[in-house]
Amino acid sequence: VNAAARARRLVFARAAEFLLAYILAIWVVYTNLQTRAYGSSLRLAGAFVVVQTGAIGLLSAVLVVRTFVAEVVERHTRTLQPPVLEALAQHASGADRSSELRRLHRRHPVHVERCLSELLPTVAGAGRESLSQVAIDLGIVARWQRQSRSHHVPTRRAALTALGYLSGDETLPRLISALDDADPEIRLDAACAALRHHADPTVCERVFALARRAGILERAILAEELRPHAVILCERAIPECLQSRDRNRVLSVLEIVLVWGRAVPAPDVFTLVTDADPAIRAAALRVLPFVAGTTDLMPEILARLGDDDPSVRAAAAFVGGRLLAETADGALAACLRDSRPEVARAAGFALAELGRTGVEMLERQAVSPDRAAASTALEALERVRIGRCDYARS
Amino acid sequence: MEWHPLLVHAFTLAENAIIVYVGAVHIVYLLLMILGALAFRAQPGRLTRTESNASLRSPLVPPISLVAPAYNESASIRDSVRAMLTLHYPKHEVIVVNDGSTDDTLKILIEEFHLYKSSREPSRTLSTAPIRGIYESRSPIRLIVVDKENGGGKADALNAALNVARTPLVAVLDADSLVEADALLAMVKPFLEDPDRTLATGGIVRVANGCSIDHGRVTRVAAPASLLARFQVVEYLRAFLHGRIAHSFLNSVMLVSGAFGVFRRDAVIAAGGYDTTTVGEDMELVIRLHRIWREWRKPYRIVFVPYPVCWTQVPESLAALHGQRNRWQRGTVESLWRHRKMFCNPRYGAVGLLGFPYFVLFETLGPLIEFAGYVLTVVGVTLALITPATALLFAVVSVLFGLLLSVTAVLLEDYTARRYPSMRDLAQLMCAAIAENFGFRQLLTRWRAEGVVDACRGKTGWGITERRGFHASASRP
Repeated sequence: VNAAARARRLVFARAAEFLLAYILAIWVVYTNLQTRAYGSSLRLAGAFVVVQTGAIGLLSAVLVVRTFVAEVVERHTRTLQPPVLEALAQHASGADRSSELRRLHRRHPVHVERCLSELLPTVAGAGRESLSQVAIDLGIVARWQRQSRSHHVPTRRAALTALGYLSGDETLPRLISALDDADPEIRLDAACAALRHHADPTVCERVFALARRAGILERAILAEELRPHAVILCERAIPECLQSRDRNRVLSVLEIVLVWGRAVPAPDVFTLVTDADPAIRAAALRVLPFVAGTTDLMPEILARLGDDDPSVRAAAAFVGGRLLAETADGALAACLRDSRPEVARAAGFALAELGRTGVEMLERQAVSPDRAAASTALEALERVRIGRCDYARS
Repeated sequence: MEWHPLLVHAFTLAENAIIVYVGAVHIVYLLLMILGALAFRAQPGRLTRTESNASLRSPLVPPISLVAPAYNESASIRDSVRAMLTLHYPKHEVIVVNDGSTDDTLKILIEEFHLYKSSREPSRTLSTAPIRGIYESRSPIRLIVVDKENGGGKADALNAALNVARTPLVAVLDADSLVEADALLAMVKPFLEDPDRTLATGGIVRVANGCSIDHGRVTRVAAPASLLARFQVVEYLRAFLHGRIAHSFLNSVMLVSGAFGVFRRDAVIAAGGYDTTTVGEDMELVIRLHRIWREWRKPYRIVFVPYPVCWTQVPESLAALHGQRNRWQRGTVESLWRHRKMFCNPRYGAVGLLGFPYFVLFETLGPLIEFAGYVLTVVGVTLALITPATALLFAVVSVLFGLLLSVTAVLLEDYTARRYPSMRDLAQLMCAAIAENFGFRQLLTRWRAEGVVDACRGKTGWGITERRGFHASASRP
């Protein structure tokens, strides 16, 4: 929050500086205009004209130069990149092209560096090791290490991203320290790279902690990266969080488990189904199908179908459908008459997923005098008929 | 010729008032331009490939309904719906509202997308014209067509779609808008970053005239051949890349274009949906959201995202452009009048003190004052109350300022998106930026001034709209 507030203040301050500079320029021209024969308003207008013309000229020049430079760079890239990429690709596939790469690097260092950072993420194993060695030999890694401490965020980000794709553990300390970087994209890239490099429990737990604190988008990305390490995290980090009384902590961990969408040994989720907080109850119910365990879930699902909170009832109905809870068909049918349409719909779709038993139940409800329940049942039956129960799952 | 001193005094007073006003306009626009450029640099960048890939797989990304009202769109509805269905997003459904079309829009949709009459019941939260039926697709695509009776215009159609939608987010589009494949994800990003506070996001609308379009996708971007359309390219760039980024930074965005905007459905419903009694329903809704959330004292934000791109065809005939600008101006006046208690009211924070006064003083009264300035200058020169040299100098100041804004807009475009990469396109845009000051700008000023007068006289209706193959937009930039 402080960083964002600081950034806002900086924008305001710089905008004020620019505006003052503009007004000052007009004032300077105004005071120096020699047309004393005219009144002050005319001189002011003249000053406006001079400064505006200057500003337009400057901006137009910037625009033309940018376009020109971009065109030249693109032309150069089109000519130079193919031989550099070719040499790097051959080197990665086992041929020794180091002398040619050294020669190319002497003549076109920027292109070699750029091609290397583009190629590194696309190769693995021995190929990546060869390219990493070339990057060290050509002094590119040392340069990236320097740039990874730059104050300029895009430079720092590019360098850390490239370092993250090198093989070997030499860059790991730098990546770990980048987990605390002020820039969220750098933190994200560093976390993914650290997991690729050395996924020991300490690194996994640090990245997991980062995922918990991050926004939804970053959490979604990091959860995907953490997926292969789910079991390690279930040993200590996840139980600790689920047992904590911190609402945000619990909810974020439940979201991560939901992203994994696979059987994880996290029995603490079962106890959260009866938590006092309805948001936690609903989130815990939604991840129930992904928690490994022998606990009989049916009594709890049935109980939650009668919960006071509609989001919990809807989640219970959803889970009932996912777990094919045939014994819950009566309770689900009752939920079709729920006052909240989202609960009734979830129940309808859950019955549609139950197969024959559920369909029979829906057919009975479709002709019931309760118009809302009947239309929900009919809609669910239509989904069964056209094989579109996928709607229920989202 | 000697004039009565009182007349000369009155004239001088009016001229001076206009000069002060023009000076204020210059400073405010300049500040917004600088603030917009700096705010753009400071804000998070576009979606990275990693973010985009993760979003496409993640169950944490909220589902969204794309809502597109359609009235007599038989020529383009196939391509538009296909383009909407193929947008990159993990879970999205398309809701097309056939707003009582008299052509075969519905028939085309039923045949093309294998629709059946569904039992889906719309909620009755927002009152709308009667719904004749809801259709869904048998194919594994998420398309819903709401067939409703005409009445209440675009706002009523949108309300019907809001009743049918079940997702937490809704994206409002024109049926004839073309949205870039990854634009939806970028528009949803602010909701993922701050789900509790974000109520709406708006994106950039660009001019599609002159671009190559294939199966509902813009495949090559180029400046339009028509001068009128080229003027509008510069105008759209100015509208989106200056004021709106700055207003977003100040949380005082007053308009999310009806051609492309994403809203939290519960927020729109809590605010009472779209107002069917105004032609400026998009602006009216955004102002109402500001007003209600400020009155409820709940933290919120309405964000302008400078990256996502929606392409729209702009009018190429003067009659259609006249009708469109008149309607936009009337919509602005109606919306501002309806919420006039927000004007300079500190209770409404940045919107009440910045966004609202900006729209009243510069967007609504601006055309009237500028028009009066032209008339007074001509009268003054004719009656020898001011010298031609003075008049010319002030005209040059005004033209140069307009040019400065246009050049910075083109520069910002180059910096943010670089959609016009060739030197030729750039030269064409720069020429248009200069040429628009001689005739086009004055014409727009006249039409907008007329719009203010029409709004005050209570004129209603949409006026002339132009429809061609890939059609003219009904929404303002």
